[in-house]
Amino acid sequence: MIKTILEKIRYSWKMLTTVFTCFFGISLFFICSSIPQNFFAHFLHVDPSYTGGLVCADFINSSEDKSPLLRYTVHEPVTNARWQQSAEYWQLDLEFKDKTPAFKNISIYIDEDFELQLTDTEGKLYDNSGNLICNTEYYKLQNGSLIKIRIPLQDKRVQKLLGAKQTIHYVLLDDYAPLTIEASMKAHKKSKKEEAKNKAYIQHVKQLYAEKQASLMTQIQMPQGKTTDENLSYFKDKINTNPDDYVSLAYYGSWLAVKGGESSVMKAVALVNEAYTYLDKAAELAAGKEGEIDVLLNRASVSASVPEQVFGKAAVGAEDFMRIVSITENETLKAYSYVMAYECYQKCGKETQAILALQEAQKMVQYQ
Amino acid sequence: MISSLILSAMMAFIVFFFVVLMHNFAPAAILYAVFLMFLFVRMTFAENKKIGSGVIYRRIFQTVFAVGFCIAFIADLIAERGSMSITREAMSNSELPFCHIAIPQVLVPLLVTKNIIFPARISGHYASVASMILIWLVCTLTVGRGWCSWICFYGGWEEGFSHVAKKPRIKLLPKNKELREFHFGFMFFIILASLCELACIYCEWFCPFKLVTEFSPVNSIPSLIAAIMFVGLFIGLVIVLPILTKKRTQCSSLCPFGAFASLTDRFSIFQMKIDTDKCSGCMKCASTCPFSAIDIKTIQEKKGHPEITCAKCGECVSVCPNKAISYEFRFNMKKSGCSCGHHKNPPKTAAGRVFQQLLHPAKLFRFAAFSFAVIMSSDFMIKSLNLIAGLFGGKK
Repeated sequence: MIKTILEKIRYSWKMLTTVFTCFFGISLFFICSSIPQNFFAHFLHVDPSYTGGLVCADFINSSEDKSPLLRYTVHEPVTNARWQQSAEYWQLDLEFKDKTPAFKNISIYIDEDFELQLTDTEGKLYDNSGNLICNTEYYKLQNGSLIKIRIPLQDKRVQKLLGAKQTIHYVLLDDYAPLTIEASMKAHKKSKKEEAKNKAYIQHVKQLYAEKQASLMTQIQMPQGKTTDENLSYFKDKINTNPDDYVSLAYYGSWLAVKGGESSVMKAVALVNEAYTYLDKAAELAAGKEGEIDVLLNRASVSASVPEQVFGKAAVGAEDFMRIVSITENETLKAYSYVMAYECYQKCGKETQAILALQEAQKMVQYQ
Repeated sequence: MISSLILSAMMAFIVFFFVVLMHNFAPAAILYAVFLMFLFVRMTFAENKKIGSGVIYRRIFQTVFAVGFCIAFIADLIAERGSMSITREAMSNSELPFCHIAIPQVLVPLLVTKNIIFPARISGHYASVASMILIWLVCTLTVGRGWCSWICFYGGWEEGFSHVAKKPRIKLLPKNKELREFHFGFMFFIILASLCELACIYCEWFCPFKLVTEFSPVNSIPSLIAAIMFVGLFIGLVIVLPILTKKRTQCSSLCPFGAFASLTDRFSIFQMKIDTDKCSGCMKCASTCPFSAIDIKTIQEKKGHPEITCAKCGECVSVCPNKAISYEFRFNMKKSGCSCGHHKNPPKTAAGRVFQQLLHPAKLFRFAAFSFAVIMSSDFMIKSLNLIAGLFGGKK
């Protein structure tokens, strides 16, 4: 008797899960796939021999000088690489601020033993007597803002790099001030402490901003303690009265996105798309006028919070936050915008810009 | 009838969301949504009339998807790199698209080296490693190897070519077992070779679908050999043999993902069932099965289900004169399982009957597989429809 009941319960449970999976599970998986995907991506890494080797040294040029070089990365030498032009190579990356850097020549002196000469199209490695050792693999990526150099390690003179513990790089770019980078030749893991410190800092800045938020915004008359629908109708009325009231347009768009967050998935997509028609129009009308910060903050905040996989707005959000930085005088708002830009850049995979934004924020607001 | 209407309405909801709404009501999206709904409604109602008769709509979908996928994919490659051939930039930046066929080759090396031995993006792209592995996991738990016959964007090529001729010129039925053994043997060889070399050997040397996606530039003797291999394999296994045998020869003899999905199919919800009491042993199912999953022994030994390589395409269901083959829940296949709520206790009310029809394994399986297919295909098909419209000077 009990066995039969238990069997019936087990059967019903299996049927219920099966029906749910078939009717809703697959669709739900695809709607929410970015969450497990991002989680899963933390544990997966492409073999370093395909990506250029593990990173040994990463220099980010945050100085105020006008040098177009933004980042210089030294990788661990790679051996037995598959599917690559050279099975043994050493990769150096140069990332520039502009998409098409206008430099004539770059010379990189490595340990005073080698000179790597880069032009706009090729790279050549010379020894300290000026004799050509080899041509390097030269890849221009990201519309020319990233140059990857792979030095083949077949030549005996270069092979000593395989056993080196440290190398010193002097980077000379046209007439700009030279950069000196000391690079260990062994990769080290990212410190978890540093990550936790960054997280705490971001939290601190956000909290600081939340405390001062009211005083930073334009003195627009906001409806007090009303529901999303009431707020929407309030701003809709204002827009009906004056269709070019860009601040109201921005707030209306922002509340539409909030309503999207409170609605079903189906409605949410439509509402967020509609929200952007108002936010974009508001940003267009507000350019260079009083209240631009309010408008940009609304659009940037929506861009930072909507799922990147579905809407792909993180890059727009980062640009808006950086624009706010350039027009506001308030240090807290600047720091908050940098921090938010950092998060947006990370979302859209612009790691260098993200690091730079965080570094700038840290200059504005200190935290232990 | 009512159950078909309910299923069609639910599918309309999925199609509307993933095809129309996600693509902002684009004309191509609406056109594709109409096409999908036509296929699903016709399939569901046809199956209601005569079991197995809806299989033609699966064939149409898979063939159209395979062609549409390749058009959109090649257009993407040309936009990104200017050609179908793999560039050094894409290789050095780990930007090669990752497809499901590479999964069995990367999993074992992943366990050993903790690294993916394929230069692809990890996330943030439709063909990234994380997204493809997750899709495979969800697919394994739901439709299992049904992926190959319903969703696989390469399998459609063979699906189309295997229905070109009316009758098979070469009968593979006596060799089904050997074919299956070769398939698994080849998969293990590929996995071992990939582990030894720490590179995806199948992708490098054997994948015939390089001809319709991307390939390494031919600039050395090894790359020339690889090119001859993939062109030969495409012509041989994807075009000529499917026409001559009416079987999906590449899927059932060479594809490592197919063999791997067969092994992991035991975790899926559905399985095909052969009612041995109804079976008259006519062998029509065995000669029709495109995946060589039924052979003489399967029927003679009254196994009650097809062999491990069954891809749940439903071709055998449509040809069986005694209606002895059907979709079944795997948990119902166990001999000791109870019959609670199953066919033996028919409901007395009309609503109960509709409910029972809705929960029929075949209907649930088709709904799940078609949902998967709709979502996987929408982006590619809309892109390719736009491209085709662009070619004829149409509005995108």
